[in-house]
Parts: sequence; structure tokens; C-alpha cells
Amino acid sequence: MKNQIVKMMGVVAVSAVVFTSCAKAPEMEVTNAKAAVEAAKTAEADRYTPTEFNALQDSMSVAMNEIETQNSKFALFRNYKKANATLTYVTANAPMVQEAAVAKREEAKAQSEQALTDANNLVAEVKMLIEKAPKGKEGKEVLAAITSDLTLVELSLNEVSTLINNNDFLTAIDKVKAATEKANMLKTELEEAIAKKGKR
Amino acid sequence: MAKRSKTKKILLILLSFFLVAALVVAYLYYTADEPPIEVIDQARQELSNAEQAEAKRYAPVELAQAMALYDSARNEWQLQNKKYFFLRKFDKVRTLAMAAIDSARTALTSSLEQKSGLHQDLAKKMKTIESRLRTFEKKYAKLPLKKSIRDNYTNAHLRYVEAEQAYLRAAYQEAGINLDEALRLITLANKASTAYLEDYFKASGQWQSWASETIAWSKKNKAWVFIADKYAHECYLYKNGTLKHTFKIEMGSNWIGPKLYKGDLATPEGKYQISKKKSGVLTKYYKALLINYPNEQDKARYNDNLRNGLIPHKGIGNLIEIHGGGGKGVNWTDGCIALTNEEMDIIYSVLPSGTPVTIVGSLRKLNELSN
Repeated sequence: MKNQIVKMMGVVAVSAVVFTSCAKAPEMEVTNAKAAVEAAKTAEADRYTPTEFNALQDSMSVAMNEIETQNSKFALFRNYKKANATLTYVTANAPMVQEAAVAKREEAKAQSEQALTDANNLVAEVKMLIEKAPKGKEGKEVLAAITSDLTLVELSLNEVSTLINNNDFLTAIDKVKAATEKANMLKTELEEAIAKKGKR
Repeated sequence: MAKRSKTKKILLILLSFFLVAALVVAYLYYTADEPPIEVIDQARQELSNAEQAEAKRYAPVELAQAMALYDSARNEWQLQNKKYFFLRKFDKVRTLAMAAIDSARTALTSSLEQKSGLHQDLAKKMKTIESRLRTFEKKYAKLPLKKSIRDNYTNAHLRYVEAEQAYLRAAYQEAGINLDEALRLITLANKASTAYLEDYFKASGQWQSWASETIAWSKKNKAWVFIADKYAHECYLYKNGTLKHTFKIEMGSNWIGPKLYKGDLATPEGKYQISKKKSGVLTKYYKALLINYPNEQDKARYNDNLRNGLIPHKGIGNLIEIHGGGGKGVNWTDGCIALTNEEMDIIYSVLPSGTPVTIVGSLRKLNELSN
């Protein structure tokens, strides 16, 4: 009888140890998930894929609340499976959000660089047209105005280069589009003046 | 037997003790304060909603406050969790989480309002700027303006297009910054241009007197007169005080204002006469009517300006003509008035030497032109 009671108490003690040791807060998983979210943020996911990034952050909050919910329970009843699953989801999804952000960023970068190259080519074209434009008295003032405007376009394109160097690709695209529109207007004006001169 | 009974008794006591202890623990556990999990989860949800509504951008203060309250609630929760369960109190957690909910909702509402307000404000501002850009193009773009004024217009146009692009990708703050700068620049350009014209039109009364006197002279002497309206880029030929011909004219590129000195590319303003008629080898512009610039008024102004150091020592200039070779569509002469050769044929044939030539800034008042 005595042996039976001692055995029973032993089982209870072992079970208690097993239960408490299994229900440990997922510290490593939290660290990994936080690092993954931080990496996505470093890749400017909050700017290029904001919806996905916000969802990721929200999942992280859900996991942290779940951990705290379990921490509020009696040690024997704690269960971090749900928190673990959410953290695993965050850790697995963060690189995807990061990749999507990097892809969008690279796309914006390529787009801004291409637009800048095209705009610089257009400026070179306008400069060539200025050389071809009528140089007489009648063209002098108009050419001076066009040259002055072209200088402003070039200054704007210099700002675009700075924006690209600062990785602000979306603003760079806005600026290069405005400069391109103005350069195209100058080109049309010059082409018309040259055509008019040719007819005379 | 007695030893066995004693052991049994001890075990029974121990078991009873554990049972009582377990009951006490169970009682304390079930009567302990519960963490406000639902309230905290709601706070998290509200914060997420605010972030989705771009509160970080449009209501940063309110969002920061909500986040701080939420973090405080969580920190307090963690703090309480570290205590023995029967000592935990979650009132503060609950209060903080509820305050976080309120703040997050405020951030959400504020963000949506800001966004909507900004959206409407930007649309309105874009209309205003577009209208001002059109005003400049219509009223001032062809005037011989200072480079700084024209640069302000060009930069305003660049900023406006840039703002349009930012607006299209819903980057309203960036659009707003560009629109503010575009508005500032176009306002400067339009104000400076208006001031320039207002200053020029101060002589409006004198111009109208000159024109009236010239037409009256034509009527009285039953003779031809030539009147040029610089602002309208037109000239009018009167005979016996009656308008007979109207032609388009081209002038010097710096055509606003009187001629001040040699080489300023300005067309003079005043009352003159044809002093010589030229054709054939005497002119390179088909046919020409030389006028007697400078008159006494021009000379007096030149000397005053020279004395006051307002003009360079280049001489007052001369050889101002009404000549052919025009029809180019731009102001290209050195200060002369140019017409097409066909029009020059008519003028040359009807205007004799000594014909009054009156050149004015405008025959109409500035407010009439603005309307």
C-alpha cells in the first residue's frame, strides 16, 4: 500500500515536471519573428508593400498577446502552440513580404533610372535642335527663353539624380515626368520654329 | 500492525493537507483577477485599422499616443504576469487598453478626415494653380519679362506637374508640398507681371491724349496719320480722322516701355513724323519710312536717366523706321516697326514725308485689357 502511494506521488511529480517544462514561452521564435519583421522593414516594406507589412506587424502583435494570455494562466495550463504557430507564420511570411518590397523597390529604381536616361537624351535632343534653330534676330529672344527653360529642366534632372542616389525612387519618377513634359514642350516649340524657317 | 496504522495516518494527514492546499489554490486561482484579453485584442485591432488608414502619415500624433497607451497596457500586463496569480491586478491594464482603443479610433477618424480634407484641398489648389498658370500664359507669357519672372513660371509649371504625379499615386503630402511651392512661384510670377504692366500703363492717359490729338490733326488737316499700338501689336492708318487700314506690326524684342538708349531693342513711344522715305538700295527691308526719333521729350529723358546713372553711356540711338520684311510672328527688330512687304506697299504709297507717326503703349486702358 505504502509503495503504491509513493508510486502515485512520483507519477504526479513527474507529470508536473513534464507539464511545466513543456510549456515554455517561445523566446527563440519571438526573436526570429521580430528579426524577420525588422528585415522586411529595412527593405522598406512599409513603403513599397504597406498592406502586407501592416498585416505582418498585426500578426506579430497577435502572437505577442497570445504569449501574454498564456503567461496569465496557471503554469500547468499554459499552452504556447497557438502563439508558436502565429510566430512561425510571421517568420515564414516576412521574407516574402520583404522580397515583394525589394522587387517593387527595384522596379521603381529601374523605372526612375530609365526615365532619367530618357529625359537626359531628350535634353540632348533639344540642345541639338537649339543649334539647328534659326539664329537670326527673329529667333534670338525665343532661343534665349528656351535655353533658360532648358537650364531649369536640367537642374530638375540633377535633383532627380540626387533623389535616386537617396533611394527616393517614387519622388524621382514624379520629378522626371514633370521635367520630361517640359522638355517635350520645348522640343515641339523648336521643331515648329525650324519647320517655319524651312517654309520661308 | 501499529506501525502500519501510524504510517497510514500520516499519509492521510498529508493527503488531507495537500487536498486543502489544492482547494485553497483552486479557490484563489478562480477568484483571481482575469487579464482583459478581449479589450487588449480590440485595442490591437483598432491600432491595425488606424495603421491601414495611413494614420502614421495623416494622424501621426494621435497614432503615436494610441501606440504608447497600447504598449503601456502590454507592459503592465507583463508586469502583472510576473507576480503570483493571486496578487495580479489588471485594472490598470484594462484602463490603458481602453484608452488605447479610444486613441486608435481617434487616430483612424483623424487620418480619414485629414486624408479626405487634404484630397479636397489638393483638388481645389490644383484648380487654382492651373488657372493661374493659364492666366500667365495668356496675359504675360509674350511680354518681355525679366528672366526671374519667367523662371518662376517655369518652375511653378514643373512643380505643378510633379504634384499631379504624386496626387495620382495618392502621395497627398508630397503633392501638397509641390502644390504649395507651385502656388508660391506662380503667384510671384503673376504679381510681378501685373506690377510690371501696371507700372507701364501709368502713361495710359498720355498715350490716349497723343492718339486723340493725332486723329484730330488728321481730321483738321484732311491728311493721313500713322498710329501704332504696341500692346495690341497693331498700327492704324487714318485719313481725315477716319480709320482706313489696320495692320499687324512687329517691334523690338524689348517692346514694353519707351526707348531709352541705343541698342536697348525697345521701340520708342511718342509723337514723331516721317522724316525720309527709303526704297531700293536705300533700305535692306524692302521699303522704309524713317521717323524723327529722338524727339525733344526723348532727349530730355535720356539726359535725365544718364545723369541719374540709370542707363549706360551708349548714346540715345537713331534710325527708327517703319519698314517691310515683317510677318515673322515675333518681335525681332532693333526697335523699328516691321510689317509685311505687301502692307508696306500700301503704307509707302499713301504716307508722304512729314506724316505724323504716333507710337503709344496702348490705346486701351489696362482694366479694359484685363476684362
